[in-house]
Amino acid sequence: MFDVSLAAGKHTAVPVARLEQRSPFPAGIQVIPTVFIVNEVWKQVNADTLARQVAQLLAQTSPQQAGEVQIDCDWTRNSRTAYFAFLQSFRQQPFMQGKQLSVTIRLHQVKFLSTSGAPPADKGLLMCYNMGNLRQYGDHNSILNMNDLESYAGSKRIAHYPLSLDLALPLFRWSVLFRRHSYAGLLRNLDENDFSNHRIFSKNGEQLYTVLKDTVVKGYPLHAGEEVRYETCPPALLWDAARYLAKQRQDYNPVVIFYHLDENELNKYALPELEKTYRILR
Amino acid sequence: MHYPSWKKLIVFFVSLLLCFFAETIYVFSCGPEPDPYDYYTNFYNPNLAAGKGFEPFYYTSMRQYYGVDEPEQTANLREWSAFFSGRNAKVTDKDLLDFIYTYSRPQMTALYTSIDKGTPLQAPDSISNNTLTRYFISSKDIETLGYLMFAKRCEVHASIADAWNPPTPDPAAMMRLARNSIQLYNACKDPFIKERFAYQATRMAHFSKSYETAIHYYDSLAAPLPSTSLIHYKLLALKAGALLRTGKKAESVYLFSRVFEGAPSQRTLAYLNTGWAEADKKAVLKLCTNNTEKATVAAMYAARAVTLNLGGLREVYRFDPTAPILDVLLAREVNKLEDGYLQNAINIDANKINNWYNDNSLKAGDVKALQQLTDSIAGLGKVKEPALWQITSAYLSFMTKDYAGAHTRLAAAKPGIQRADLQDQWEIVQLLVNINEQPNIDKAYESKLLASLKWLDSKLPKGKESNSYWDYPDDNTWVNASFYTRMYRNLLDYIIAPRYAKQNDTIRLSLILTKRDAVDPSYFRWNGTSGKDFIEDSLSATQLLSLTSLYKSKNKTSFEKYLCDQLPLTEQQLGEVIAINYVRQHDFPNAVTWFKRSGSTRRSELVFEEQLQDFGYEEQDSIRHGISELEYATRMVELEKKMQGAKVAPEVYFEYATGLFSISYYGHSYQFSVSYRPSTWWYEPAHERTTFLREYFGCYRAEEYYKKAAGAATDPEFKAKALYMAARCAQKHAQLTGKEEWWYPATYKNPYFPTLVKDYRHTAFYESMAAQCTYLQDFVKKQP
Repeated sequence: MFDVSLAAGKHTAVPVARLEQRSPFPAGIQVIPTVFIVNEVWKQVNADTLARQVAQLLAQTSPQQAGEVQIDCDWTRNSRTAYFAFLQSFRQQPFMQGKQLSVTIRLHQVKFLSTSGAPPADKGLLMCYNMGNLRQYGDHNSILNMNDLESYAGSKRIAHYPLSLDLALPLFRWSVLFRRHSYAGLLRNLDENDFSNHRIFSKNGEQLYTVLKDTVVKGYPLHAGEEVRYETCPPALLWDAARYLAKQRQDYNPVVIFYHLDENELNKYALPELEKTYRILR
Repeated sequence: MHYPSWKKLIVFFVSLLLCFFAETIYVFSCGPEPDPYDYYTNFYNPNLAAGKGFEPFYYTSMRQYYGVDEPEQTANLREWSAFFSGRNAKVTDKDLLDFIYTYSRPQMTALYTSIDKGTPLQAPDSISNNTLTRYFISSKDIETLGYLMFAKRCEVHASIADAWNPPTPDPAAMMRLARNSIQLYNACKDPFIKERFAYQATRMAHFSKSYETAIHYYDSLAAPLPSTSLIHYKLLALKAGALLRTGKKAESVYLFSRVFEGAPSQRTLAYLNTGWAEADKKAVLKLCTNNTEKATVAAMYAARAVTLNLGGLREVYRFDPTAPILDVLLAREVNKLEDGYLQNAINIDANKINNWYNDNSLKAGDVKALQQLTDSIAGLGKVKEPALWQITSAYLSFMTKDYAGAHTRLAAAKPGIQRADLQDQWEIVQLLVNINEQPNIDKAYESKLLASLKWLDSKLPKGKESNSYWDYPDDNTWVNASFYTRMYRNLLDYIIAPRYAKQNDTIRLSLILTKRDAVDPSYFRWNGTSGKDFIEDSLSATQLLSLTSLYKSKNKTSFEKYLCDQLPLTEQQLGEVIAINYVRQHDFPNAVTWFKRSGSTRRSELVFEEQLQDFGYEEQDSIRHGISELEYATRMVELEKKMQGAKVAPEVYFEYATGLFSISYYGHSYQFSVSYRPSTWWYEPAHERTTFLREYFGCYRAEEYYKKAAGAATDPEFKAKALYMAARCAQKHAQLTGKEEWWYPATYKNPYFPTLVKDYRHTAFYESMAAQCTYLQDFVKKQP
């Protein structure tokens, strides 16, 4: 519904990027209002005050029928106390009466449970993507890859995590530009068609392409010698990840989430391929 | 019993951590966050520039801005204070702040009315006694007071009091106020106040999105006023912003560059807008009227680069060698080389793993390229402080291990140094070079080193001062203190400690590590051990005895005394560490001797309870009873004596084996072996090379004694239990071949499962374990 960030003077937290809703939500679809809180705010704010403010703004703007509310924050050991205090206070707000509180959990918080702690919520959403080193040059998939997933989740960290976890898998793609092996940015909207142009790109690995000549592709100026790593989430990889996660089944039937629901991206998958992922996990 | 030398231990840590981190080095975009000011090895003060005020633009690739601008409130109050002094008003700073920034419009109106009508002021004492209130009453300066009241009316439209309940913008009201402001401007006599009316008019027009009007107001109202005040620059910024919104990008950026140069409290605003404008730099440069202006424009573009940007540095220098921001751009380039080159080079030398994301794409050639530039600029002598450039050059020599080159440049710089910070940086580079040139850090050099360490101690924050941006988000006071803390810690951690490691001087090494922790107690390096843990967990008995005797010695050198004085362990505690070390080596008689001498603080409740599953660790803080480690060791000695008899009871073997298993990595009393036991380690074949690690992770002796217990027993229930525990030990050192996963040999190649299943299937013990142990279940399923 909105993000919470620090105001310019840096002493107070303010709502930003508020959802500008131009039409009502479709009937019959369960909507879970979500608020993203930037980790920096915890240095400055009073947890109770912020909890009240967030709840009030949600009360004004969320759909009436929401039965669950999600807080998204990539907290750290430094901000853990403040964030958890916020969640405790938030749960007590009138708006949250009768509603479930879920929080996002990132893989590193599962791995380092003892320093990160587990937030006081009804359940968590494990975000199983963006687990690799985006900015590092190499032929790896920083969105989703089994090595990193296993390194984080181990053989039982998810199974033993103190909160029930819903699972989010990625459904997006991007291209990572490198100049002299140095990270130079993200290119969006390139796809297989662009990379199959052999006059511009030569394949250099599993996902790496070398730019052969100076050119402009979908508005991005590219220079000879630069390299692009094209990262996607193919169905086979999703299934591998799902199988791995399924081995650590908790005593709970997880909600399975795909991030994100973009029409162009969805069209690249056959419905049975996505259904299979669900089936593996539930 | 042979014990690992530091080198081997480093290899252990490295190889262990490599296995763990080889994947993890990959993995930092979703890991614990790095400190944006401390994610690479830094020895060059980012705050070295002579001219301050550019702290937001120091180098960090992890944040948009490094430090903060001068607060606008400070700058504004300074100008108001000067204004009132000029009117011979005795107004205190606090009263000025209270009046201008906290009084409400009704309060000001009451004052205005009382002055206008000549009636006494009805207000609380705090307002009546305010020295600015008194000034207004005695001077009847209603023009100024009227301005402040008018500003309050505009404020409602210019800022949001409660972001959680923002009002809807009212452009019509804003434009009315703008026109009102013009009338007041026209009627106003004092130029200081007049300019502020111009500001309010332009601001209201801008915020009502009437950008052409805002530009027109600036040109007609503000431009004719000769001024270099804060308000002048805020006005200029409003015009620049309006130009941006109406598509005149180059003009916009040119004006923002004037703001950037002239108004320290508006620099990030100007910089941010320049970024959004995306104007072609050449087009902007064309609008500059002199080289100083061009230097500012070029600097604003150059400061955006997070990759090496010598071209930007060169360009600003060419336009204006005396531009204050030039020093900041220089520091950025040096810090980038530390991040991208030195970090890696130093880590390799120090045999350490990089902590955070490491952009190791810069090469020695890049360092040399910057050095060519700094040498030539220093030589040409046009910059304000050639010494700064020479010292920088010397540091670059250090980076590429050209120590002779460093000395030459340091010598050249010395006579020209006129600032303490510059002298400090000179000393730091000198120290780095000297240490690296020393073939050995011997006693002679240590006495010199001591002087340097004491000097560095004096640079650390004192008392309640902090070196963390977390504590001072509003200002830049922490920047220098944080640099010296970080640099001193890096020196100890990355330069001095590894030298002692190479010299195999584990005692000195452990002392330096504890000193490092004292210098920066809050530093969190998740793959590192504290000095204290290193001493407690990693030194051999011989090394500990040496450390203790050094600690007690009355003949220490000054250097040794300095280090020992800050050791976070007393002689008693050292003695206990020695005892624990003996426990680790399973040398219980010596352990008992040392516990009796020094005390035994660690306790366990479960150490002699067999552990049928791999969890259930004791919470040390909640152990109320149980036995001390001395009692444990004493018991183990008793058991060993009993084992020397002719006929040994199986329970003796069993209890002994349990005592060994419980203090292994997997045991619930691991605290009897180590202080630091991360949950992410496990047995590795490399551990076989070190006796302690072999037992700690591999549980060989525990297995041996469980097996003996089984052999000596006649009761099948007991035998089953002993064999089962032996099976658990055997799993710990399961050897993998090919692409096997651990559970395969642990289950199907377990040497004890066949016997357990064949001969003990009908015992009650077996039946209860078979219901719980999935390895056993899996094994049984595959039986014919």
